[in-house]
Amino acid sequence: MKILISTCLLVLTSFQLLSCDICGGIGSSVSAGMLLNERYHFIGIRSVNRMTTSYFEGIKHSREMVFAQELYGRIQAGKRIQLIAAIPFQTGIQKRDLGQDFFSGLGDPYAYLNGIVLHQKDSAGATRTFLSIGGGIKFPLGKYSIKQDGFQNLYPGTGSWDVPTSLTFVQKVKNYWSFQAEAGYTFKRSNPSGFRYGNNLTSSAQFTHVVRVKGNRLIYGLGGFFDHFEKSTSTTSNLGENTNSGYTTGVRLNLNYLSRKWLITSQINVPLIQQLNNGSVKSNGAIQLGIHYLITSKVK
Amino acid sequence: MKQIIYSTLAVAAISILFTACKKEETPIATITFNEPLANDTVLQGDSLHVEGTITGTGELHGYTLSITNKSTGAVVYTGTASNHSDSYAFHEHWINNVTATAALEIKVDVELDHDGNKSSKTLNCVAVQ
Repeated sequence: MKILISTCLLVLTSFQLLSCDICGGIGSSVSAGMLLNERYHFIGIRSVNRMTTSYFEGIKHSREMVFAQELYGRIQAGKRIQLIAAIPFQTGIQKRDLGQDFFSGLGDPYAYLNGIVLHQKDSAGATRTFLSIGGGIKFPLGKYSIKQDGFQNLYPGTGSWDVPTSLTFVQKVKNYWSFQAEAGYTFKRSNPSGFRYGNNLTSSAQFTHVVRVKGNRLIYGLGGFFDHFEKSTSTTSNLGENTNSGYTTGVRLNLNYLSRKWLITSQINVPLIQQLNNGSVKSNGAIQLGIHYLITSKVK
Repeated sequence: MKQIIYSTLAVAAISILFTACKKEETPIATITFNEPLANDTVLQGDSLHVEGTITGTGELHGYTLSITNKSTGAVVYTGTASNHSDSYAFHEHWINNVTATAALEIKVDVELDHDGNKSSKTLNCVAVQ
């Protein structure tokens, strides 16, 4: 029972890895937060849907929708080491007054190592404090745009080798309640066409609560997020001063269901304050759904 | 007293009648091309970006964007928006696939009302084979 609850305390922070029409492509940043407890390997599928509206000289020009699905897995390689990997598939759609464009294909896969630096438990074995640091590589294997145009951000890949990193902290507040904070920073490199998306920071903090439901666990959380994107640069084109740069911050809601073999996750991001691409892009939020099959780890 | 009441009602009824029958003023539309510039050249296989804005002094009733090959008379691209709005932003692409170098006419027609009143603007450029 306590063990299961300690697992629940670590289950919610996992939304940073997604395609991004501001920062570009799959794997703009990695979150290692998903089920940090070392008792499980898992494999799952998750879907992240993001919506934006674009403006041209202050006039609404188009709506963009990016649907990203990931085959996502984690292996507990040792008591303090986790290997995480994902293969994404993304569809990007832009709808305008006079037509629409559609970009679909495999995105950039990534592999990621997460090291558990600190994991203190109470006398009952429940997690009290947890701290992990991770880093990995995003491989430029997905389809990306050679042209540096307005459709570039809808492609499933970026064409660049990127290095995502993350820091995750969890503190038990009281029985069934915990505080979770996570920050990720991705170092980005140029793609073969000379285009380089700016590095980006993702961060979140939230309180979570666990409720027992027929022997399983319902875990919900409420908090906030802040994402920052540095400007893109190009060696071959004259980009604007703030291309793809900006920030967005808002509210994050989680609802998750955990049984002995399955974890079902859902998450909503609602932006409240934002300044993206000189105001020419407005994020309308994101929705994430996931299902994971849990495999008990033999690592002790 | 009754006469005052009847007179007031009559004036009110006439006022309402005239107000209801007053026709809305036809708005004025300003069409601006940001891309391409006049007489720009588009190479074979390249994309022609047609980008600009339409702003009205009132509600506009849609617009049509067309690209015509002036050498052959063929309309190589056309798109129509029928949504009502005070302003529009367009950004469309056409890939130059002409078989002989030709002058292109880019035209935007804005529906000002449902009585057939329109506002138009054209811009010429060259598609190179």
